[in-house]
Amino acid sequence: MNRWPRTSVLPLWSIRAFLFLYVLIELPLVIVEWSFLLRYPTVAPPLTEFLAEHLAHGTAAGQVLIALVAVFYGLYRGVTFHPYFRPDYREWLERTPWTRSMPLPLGPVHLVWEDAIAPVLLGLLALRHEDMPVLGPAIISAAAYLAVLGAGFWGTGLWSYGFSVFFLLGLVLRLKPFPEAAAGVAVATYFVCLLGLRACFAAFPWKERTTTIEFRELFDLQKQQDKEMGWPFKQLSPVPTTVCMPAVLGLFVSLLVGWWLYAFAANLSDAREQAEFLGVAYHVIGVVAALVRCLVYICGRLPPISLWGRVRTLRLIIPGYDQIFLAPLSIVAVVSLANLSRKHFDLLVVAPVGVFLILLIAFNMGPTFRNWHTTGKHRMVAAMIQSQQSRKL
Amino acid sequence: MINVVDLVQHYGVRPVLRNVNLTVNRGELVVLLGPNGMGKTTLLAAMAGVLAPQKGYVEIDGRRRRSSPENELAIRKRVIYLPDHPWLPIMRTGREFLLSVGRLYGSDVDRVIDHVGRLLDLFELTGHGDSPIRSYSNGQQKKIAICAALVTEAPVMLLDEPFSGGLDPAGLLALKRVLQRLASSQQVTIVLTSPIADLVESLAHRVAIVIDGEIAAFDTPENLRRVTGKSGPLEEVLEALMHSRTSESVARYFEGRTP
Repeated sequence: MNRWPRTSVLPLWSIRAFLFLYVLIELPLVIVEWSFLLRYPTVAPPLTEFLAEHLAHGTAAGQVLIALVAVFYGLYRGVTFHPYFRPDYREWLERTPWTRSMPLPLGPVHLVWEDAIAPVLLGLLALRHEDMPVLGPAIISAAAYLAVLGAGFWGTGLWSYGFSVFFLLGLVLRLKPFPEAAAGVAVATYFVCLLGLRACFAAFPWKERTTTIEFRELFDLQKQQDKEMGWPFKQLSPVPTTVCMPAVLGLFVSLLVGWWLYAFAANLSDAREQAEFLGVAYHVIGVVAALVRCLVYICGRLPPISLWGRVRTLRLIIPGYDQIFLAPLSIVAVVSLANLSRKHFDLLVVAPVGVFLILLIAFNMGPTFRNWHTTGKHRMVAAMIQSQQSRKL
Repeated sequence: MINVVDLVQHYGVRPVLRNVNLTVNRGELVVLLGPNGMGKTTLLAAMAGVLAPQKGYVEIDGRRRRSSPENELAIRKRVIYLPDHPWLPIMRTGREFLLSVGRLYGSDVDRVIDHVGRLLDLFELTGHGDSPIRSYSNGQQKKIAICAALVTEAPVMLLDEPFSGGLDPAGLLALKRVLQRLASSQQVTIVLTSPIADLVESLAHRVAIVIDGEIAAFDTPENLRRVTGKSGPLEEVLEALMHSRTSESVARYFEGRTP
């Protein structure tokens, strides 16, 4: 069998699982409805007519399943072939004389004609579902695939390509009501990705990383466990902390989240629904950002003196420590400001701008975690979270 | 060299350290002695960079702690701190843990592997090296924590009560000999705390006696004997310097008196 179809068609187990679930979702409804109609033979249509009717109209659950499979296919197609997402493959490739002028041993990252098979089949199935356009599965698959490539660009240090891809994907989302235009933007995004892939593989093996966090390692429990060294070896480690994000990346990510929020909310046709969604979104993002920022800085790093000590010594504010609360307080201020300005400005502008500012503060406002970790006026303690994997002697 | 300058620390209202000044030279083994709750651990923690003192500062080899990320990371490469109650990664084997700590301090992998093997042998842990730490006894956990400090080969070691925590006599002896050798022949600077004088008498180049957050005396055992006019074991010297109240309390107890 040709290598490309073998690798670009979904694994057999996933096709079987999809067909099984799809039939499981669609069939019982048909049976229930038919058995109901049998009670009233006078109004019941002939069986062939009934089946034809049902073949022409699918359920909402079936539609969701099609969308999920389309997402899965896009993710699968991107992750399976990109060495960045497969550490073993990447490490092996680094030890071979492979260069970008040669084909990738496991198959190409870029799309091949066989990649049309799954979206076309899903598109045909989508014909049964009135709310899903025929191009729907193809656009969803493409968006998921492009998102994976975008993440790959971030991860391999090609920020400009990563940012462009995610910006254009936001545009695809914004153009959801116009499938043809959305498909056009998706195609344009793909061409950006092709350029990005050329640059990406030209820089192979990738030494530079976007952040010091290896995203794939976050989900690797074994690696997390291997990193666990207990107290105080980890806290006093001479290796710079891994929790940090370059300021430019923080800016890009904040911009993207604001843009995506706008793109999604702009598609909500009902003004009240839109206002509710945006209101909840920036409040939730604000609260979560402030809390996470606080937790990251406080966890394992207590104030130099206790609260009682502050009161008794009349040192209510300790600038060297309390500086870490400036960012969460600024986030609260931005949320409050957004609340005030929503009366005077369109919420569709206020909320995305507010979210952009909230995240910009959360990511970029000083002190940086590296500075705080090494020079902050705090008292290090064994963090509570460590008790999961460490034990006090 | 460790230089502690005008160190003041209090967690609440009561001062734990009061204007502490201390200089420990390279290759010197200094023991901080004193009753419980007098500030030994806090002083060691300040030297280790675990806490930022309210006043004063600590310098290690001329670099001031927490003055800049670069300085702090450079200091951390040269200093290992072992608290009295470290937290150990219980799911990992002793060998894995030691290898990780050794590599963290930038040692060559082959060198670390060899060093870990020798340390496990030294502390009679070879048979347990490949078992998860959760299966270790308290004494064995203490030993593996000590091994973790030693495997770093850091030129400055700060050890909080290394002789406590269930070490067996063989472990105590091994640790004493290793520390002596590190200080004398490898010029490793060692500061350790201990509440028991007997254990450290043969070990300490100088003894710092910490009482009520202050350095009451800081000198060689011989000089401390001379100052106190005692010629017996170090414990007698310490009794004169810091346990005089304890002797009075014992006398009162047996005489049935209350203060």
